[in-house]
Amino acid sequence: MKSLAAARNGIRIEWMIFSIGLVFCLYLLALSFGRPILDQYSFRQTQTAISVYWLLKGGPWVAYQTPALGAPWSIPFEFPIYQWLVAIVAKLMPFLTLDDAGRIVSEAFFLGTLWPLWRIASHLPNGRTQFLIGAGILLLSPLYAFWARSFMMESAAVFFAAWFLAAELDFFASPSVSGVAEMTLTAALAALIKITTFVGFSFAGGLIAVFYLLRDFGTTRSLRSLIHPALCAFAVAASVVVLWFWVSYSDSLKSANLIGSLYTGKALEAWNFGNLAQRKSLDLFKVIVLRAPGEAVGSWLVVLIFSAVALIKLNRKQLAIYSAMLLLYAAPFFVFTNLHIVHHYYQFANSIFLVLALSYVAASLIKSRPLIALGLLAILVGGDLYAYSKNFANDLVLPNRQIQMMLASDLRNTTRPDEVIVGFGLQWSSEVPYYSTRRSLLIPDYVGANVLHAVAADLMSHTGYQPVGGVVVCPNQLGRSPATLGAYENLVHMITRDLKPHTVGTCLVYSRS
Amino acid sequence: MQPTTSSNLSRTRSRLGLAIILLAGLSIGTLRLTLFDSFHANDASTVNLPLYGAKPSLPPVIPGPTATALGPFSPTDVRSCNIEHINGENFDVDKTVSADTRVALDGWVADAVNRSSPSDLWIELTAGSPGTDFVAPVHFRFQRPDVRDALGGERHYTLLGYMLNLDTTPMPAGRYHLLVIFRHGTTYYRCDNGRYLNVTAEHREEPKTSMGMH
Repeated sequence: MKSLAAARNGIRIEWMIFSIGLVFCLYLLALSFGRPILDQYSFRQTQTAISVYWLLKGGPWVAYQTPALGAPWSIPFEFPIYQWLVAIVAKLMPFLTLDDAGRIVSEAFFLGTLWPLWRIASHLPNGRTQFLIGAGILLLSPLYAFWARSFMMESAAVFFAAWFLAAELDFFASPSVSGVAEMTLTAALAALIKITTFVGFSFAGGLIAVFYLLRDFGTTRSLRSLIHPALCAFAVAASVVVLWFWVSYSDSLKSANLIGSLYTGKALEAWNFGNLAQRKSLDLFKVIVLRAPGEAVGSWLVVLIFSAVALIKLNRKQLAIYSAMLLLYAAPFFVFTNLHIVHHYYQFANSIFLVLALSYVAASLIKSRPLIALGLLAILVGGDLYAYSKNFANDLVLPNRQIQMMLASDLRNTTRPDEVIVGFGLQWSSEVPYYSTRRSLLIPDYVGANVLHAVAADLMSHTGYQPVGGVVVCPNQLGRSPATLGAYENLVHMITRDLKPHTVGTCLVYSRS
Repeated sequence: MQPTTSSNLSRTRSRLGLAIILLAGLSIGTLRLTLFDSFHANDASTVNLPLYGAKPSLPPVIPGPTATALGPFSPTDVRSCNIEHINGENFDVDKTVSADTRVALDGWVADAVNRSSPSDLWIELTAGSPGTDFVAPVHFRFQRPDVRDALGGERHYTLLGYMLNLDTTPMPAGRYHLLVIFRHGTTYYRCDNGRYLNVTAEHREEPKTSMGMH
């Protein structure tokens, strides 16, 4: 009777953690409604959103437009499945703002990730407990709850990547043609949406395949045991091939754009991968050990406590699973090193392994050591709340990027929809082009005089043969560097001579009115 | 303890997963063709994208005499601020503007003594002669995560950025020293990073300059 009551209490705790996580996640989503997508990494959120806006305006769906760097307007990065779905939702539900439609689709993908997680957990002993606690802690993680309600495709990539792992586990449990097809398609979709996200999951897939290979080959010594791991490898290889075709295609489109050509896969290699020195740097160490755990679970101390408990209380098999998940958390940092150092949101791709590793420890102990498990869960929930208040709460309630909104508002008032905006000092952030709903030619600070000369020599080809309706000049470096000063002055003079200036925020805006 | 799934269930789930992918692909294709009938740019279609009440510009602030606005005060000197830009240019050299004009100033300020964002903030303009001490309240504040990170990521450093659209109408011609004043409780702090503004007696003209162009 006593053990039955304990089991009931255990189930109650599991459902409670899950429910709190779900409510927290939906609360953050609700809090975001009616606010612009200008909180953290607003340049990236609006870069995604502006593409959806122009899909809705009748732009092409595969060579989708991101009209921020001049014509030709198509400079695609990720394969636009997320963008398509947001466009469809926005079209079907016109009462939603485009920003809210983007948030809802992202959140739906994040919540949808619970389905593959449930499939994965069902292959573990004590699967229901592992799922409910793991999912609850994931939903409570501020890193996930915050970015899930953003206008980003990160959650879509995690959804398909987790689905790939679930498909792989089901395939090994019961090999079938549909299993191979499911693995291949989900791997391809995850890689196309965001390869930086999929890479960690492909490592996880590799570990699973190696586990089954060792288990089966060790017992049967048959070459047939190699077939199933080979089919998993095929699924990943196929995703790489599909990705290669997409990158080749998107690079060809970017190359046609004067400034977009600076963002081809080849041109961004150093930016994406970083260098050996970065991999050995203290900066990376701090990101892996301090910053990312701080945003995902509150602090590195939480990880330390869980690791100590895992070492003492888990059996060897459980400890191996825990260690593997920590390894999967750390591995992507050493692949896309620079991206992970520079961009906090990239850890949406791999912190899931850290969060699930910690929840795995608590869930594994909940029956044998309920008090320890409860203590661990309390630490984790406390860490999550602390991380939320430290890293994200302000961005959900305080105003953000009002100057960009002022510029956008001014441009909507002073220019026509068919006119093009030229911007200096806005880097290549789509914030102003998106909210002004105007196609733009933004000239980032880091272009050389050759780019400025080229734009001046043939302005109309860079505006898609549309008139320039407004010019935004914000503080920038082009007018300060001797290398670009002459070309910059010439270009600004040329494009503003028929326009009148006025001050908006700290920028000058030239327009007809 | 055994895994909670069976091989039959796994196979069913694989089939279901594959069916979902194919069905979703088919649905997206169908909706693409039915909802988005035009393959060409159709600028007449409307998209629900509000500006969330953003104003096209900042209302100008007319500075008042310092003695009237702040009363007698003896501020503590601090260094945790910057007046970064003026009218779209970096404010790294003295600037000259005509009288009766508007000057857009922006920068950041942190209350490093109390480790917070100042709640009450002013820009003081003083030319050193009688009747040339002015102060303008700053109401427009915004987040500066770059500054917050540079100052150690203190979580209470929320609204460190500020902006002011200053109307110079009441200011006599002169060379004005610009200072940032803020208050914490009853204590005033003054921050000086060496910014000067020359106000000439000429009348207002539309701004002619852009970055680096004079």
